[in-house]
Amino acid sequence: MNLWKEFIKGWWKENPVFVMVLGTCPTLAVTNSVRNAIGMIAAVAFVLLGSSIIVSLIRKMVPNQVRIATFIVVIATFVTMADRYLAAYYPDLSKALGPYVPLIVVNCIILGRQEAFASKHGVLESIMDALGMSIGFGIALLLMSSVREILGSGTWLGMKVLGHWFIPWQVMILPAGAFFVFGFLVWGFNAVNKAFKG
Amino acid sequence: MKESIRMIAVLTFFALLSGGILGWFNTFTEKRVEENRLRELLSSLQAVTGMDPKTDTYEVVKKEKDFELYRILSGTKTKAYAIVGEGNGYQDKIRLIFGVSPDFSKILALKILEEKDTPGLGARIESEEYLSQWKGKAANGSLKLVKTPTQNPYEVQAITGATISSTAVLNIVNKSVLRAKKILKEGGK
Repeated sequence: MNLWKEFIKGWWKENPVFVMVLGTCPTLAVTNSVRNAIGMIAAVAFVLLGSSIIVSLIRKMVPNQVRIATFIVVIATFVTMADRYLAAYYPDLSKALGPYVPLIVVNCIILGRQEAFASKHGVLESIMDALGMSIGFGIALLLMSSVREILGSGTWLGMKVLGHWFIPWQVMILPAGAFFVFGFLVWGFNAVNKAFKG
Repeated sequence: MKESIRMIAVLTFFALLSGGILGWFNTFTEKRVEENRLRELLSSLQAVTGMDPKTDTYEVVKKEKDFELYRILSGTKTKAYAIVGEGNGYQDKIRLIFGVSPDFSKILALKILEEKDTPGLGARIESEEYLSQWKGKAANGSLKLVKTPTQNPYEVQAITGATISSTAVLNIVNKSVLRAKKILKEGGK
């Protein structure tokens, strides 16, 4: 039961992007198309899961003073693997995501979860936490990119969803559009959380 | 004292472990990354020079960070040259490749490899409508930008609302043509 709670908290109630407002850099930068967002979600989920497992395994042998440095080494290892893998097997996606894959190293969601959770809990809980947070991150990026791609290009995952009458709102695929959508979604998530709390 | 040795030992251990894992992982991906790069180059060369991958070959004449020159050979005869050039666009670097006839009389085709200009405006330098007009333009390094449709081989029409991006492409082409000519004069066959 406890594991289930660790698993679902990241989906909505503690959504890393909209409620904790972490990892906004990739959220704003790579959500101009659903395809890019999916690539980013996969990379972040892999890194988060991998580093959570390792960090919770080694948490007792790492001295407190060097824990952040050790966590970063672990995270950077997984990020580099993800980056090289994308470059080798999905060159187009790797090109589209550009520097945002290596930048996962400094994504606050990852280090935040190690520091706040994996370094204090066992492997099983940490896996559940990492999976839950990845799903929360995925929900956030899919929402953002769906709104932006549909309004900005009239397509979803490259398929045409709006007819010829629709003139794409170019601003939605520009950085400004990312901020508009982000603002509305943060408001929406927090409004719902508030309503259910009271 | 004991504590600091433990700190050093733990960090060193993880750094070495990480290096080892990445080195091992790289042996799988490195080859594929290189293959992807070559495949992309080959398809670009075909697109801008009409090179036939079955009968034609290519050789690298010059390769620098912001400039590449390839010679396309049909047997031993030079069929065309392909030039990769780079320069500043409206937001970020524009990198492009274009084919030139062996006597440098005209441009065969132009293709944009990288650009991050504004979608709907500057990014239209990637549109077929704009790129197709480059076919047959003079490769003398002194092309001019005009605002109206043109048939002149020494004039290129700018994209409305994207003068900076259009100028950038034109300047890259002009600069790269002159550079290629100079290199071929000095050391090329």
